[in-house]
Amino acid sequence: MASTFKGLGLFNSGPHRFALGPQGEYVLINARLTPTQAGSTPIGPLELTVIVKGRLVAAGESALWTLRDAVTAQLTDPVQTGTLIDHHGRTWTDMSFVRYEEGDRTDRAREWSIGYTATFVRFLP
Amino acid sequence: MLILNPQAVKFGPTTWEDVAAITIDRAAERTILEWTDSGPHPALADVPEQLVTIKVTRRLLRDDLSSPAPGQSAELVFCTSPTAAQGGRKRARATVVVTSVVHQLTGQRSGADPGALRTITMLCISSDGAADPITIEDASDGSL
Repeated sequence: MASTFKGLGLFNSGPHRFALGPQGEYVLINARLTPTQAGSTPIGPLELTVIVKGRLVAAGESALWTLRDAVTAQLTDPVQTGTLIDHHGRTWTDMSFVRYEEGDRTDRAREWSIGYTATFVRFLP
Repeated sequence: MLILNPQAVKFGPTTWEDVAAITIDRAAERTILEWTDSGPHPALADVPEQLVTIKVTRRLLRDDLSSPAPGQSAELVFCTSPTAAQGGRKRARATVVVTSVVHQLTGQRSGADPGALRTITMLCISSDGAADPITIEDASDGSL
């Protein structure tokens, strides 16, 4: 099945994969605040992070820019939340699209394509 | 592509005689391969950067001090024909850059066919990066 964010199939033009960022407790190294203090302090849960890596694929230059613009249009300030759904129906609610980073070049071959990494975060309430 | 015994070969203004063979190889310089979360096989493969290489092999039967140098660029033109007649004759053109010139001595042990093979390797340059660097056209008029 196709993946979606806010019901939009932003990444479905090409192959893409989902991965989760680190999970658990955010542990602060005490020495960062007080250089002479050893040890660390748990300060709260890590925010859920979902990372989508893939490639936008189009038939030509303008079609690829349409795809790229559709993705970056979802990078809003202030951030907005939406539901992110992967290929297998796994659903993450209240996700914010916070970062979109493209590869170092557009590949113009049989098809026009560009690699990307998109990062979604569920901010703590 | 393989062209055996081409009728005529020119590198810029210079005519190369006694050409035994021309090979044209195409290879991916960079490959895109992408997988999905659905299974083990690639779902996308493409070649956004490729190299076209031409190797011209000449038979040398005597001393020759006039070999091209790496980095030298010129238009390479050669003709090929299915028969000795002009019918179906084709002309190939490409702007090339020489990358190597190597020699292989032949017939040294047997004493037969003394001489050498000179292989000149060249990279093909596209006019705009998108057009195929080799153009093939009709040459049934017999011209080079």
